Amino acid sequence: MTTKPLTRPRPGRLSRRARRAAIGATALAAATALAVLALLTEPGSAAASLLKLTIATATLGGFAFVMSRSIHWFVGNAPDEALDERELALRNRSYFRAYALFAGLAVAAGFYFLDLAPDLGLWMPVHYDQWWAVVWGFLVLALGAPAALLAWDEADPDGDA
Amino acid sequence: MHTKEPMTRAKPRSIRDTLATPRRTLMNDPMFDWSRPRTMRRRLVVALGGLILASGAALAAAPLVGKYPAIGALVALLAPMIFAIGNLNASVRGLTGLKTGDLDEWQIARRDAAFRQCWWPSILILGGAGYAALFLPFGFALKAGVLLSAFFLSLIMPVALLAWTLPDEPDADA
Repeated sequence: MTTKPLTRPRPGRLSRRARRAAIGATALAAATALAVLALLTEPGSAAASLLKLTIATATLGGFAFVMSRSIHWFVGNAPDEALDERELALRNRSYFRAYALFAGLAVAAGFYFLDLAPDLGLWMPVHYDQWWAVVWGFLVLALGAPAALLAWDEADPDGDA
Repeated sequence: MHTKEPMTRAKPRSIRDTLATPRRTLMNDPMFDWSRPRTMRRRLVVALGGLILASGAALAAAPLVGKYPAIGALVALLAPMIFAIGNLNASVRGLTGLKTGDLDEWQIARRDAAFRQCWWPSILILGGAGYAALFLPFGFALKAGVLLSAFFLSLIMPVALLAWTLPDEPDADA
């Protein structure tokens, strides 16, 4: 059986500022949508179902777009053989930072769910839709954080940092 | 393994001195030389893994043995866990804990590669534990024990991987 070689996307043309704006806006939109689903919509309602469908479609569409077009996704996820030494170093650094981010969020979430929320009577996910928002957030972060951090850090295409 | 810190001291020090010592100096201190041969590093990894699983088991066993014995077991496990984590970190000269500026190029490359290798296993462990906690018909204590173990295993995985795989230092005795 033969395998098709990976197609390397063309180098990105966005400036670092534009890239950061796009990443920030995407993260903000995702967090807002998940927060609205978890906090504001009535569990099991048509609005919640519609919002879940919208979030899922936007996420899958967004990942499909990024996976096929983004050099940063490619560098963040391609096998080692497909990358040069500099790209490998950049990629590994982004995983190091993503791990730190994830560990920090896990500590904060654990503290919130096990201690703060029960003690202070704060919001806790109870219904299916609310858990769906939490799990979806975890999945999006796990899939997207390393490549997003890589794109966040990468210098401008013309070489100016 | 390279280091930026010259090895100058081997004298035992008080806890107060240890806490006041800069982290980079502490991580390269010769008092941790006993933990730096690979065999010893691997023993520390196994010991820490066992302690983490034991702490999860202590939590999970709370309904069987009672709340206070379970808390007592957790407290009793705390000191050996701190000892094992501290020595494991020092055994790899603080690669996962020191700032990037305190490491040389080789160390940074090994550290970053270890974190990349651990990313998906860690996500899978946390995700699996989260799935079990959410959807499987276990009691709260068992779920908490599984989550606690998964969380600590994910946290120590990069340093454990480095401790397990790094070669012996050129001037090591073992």
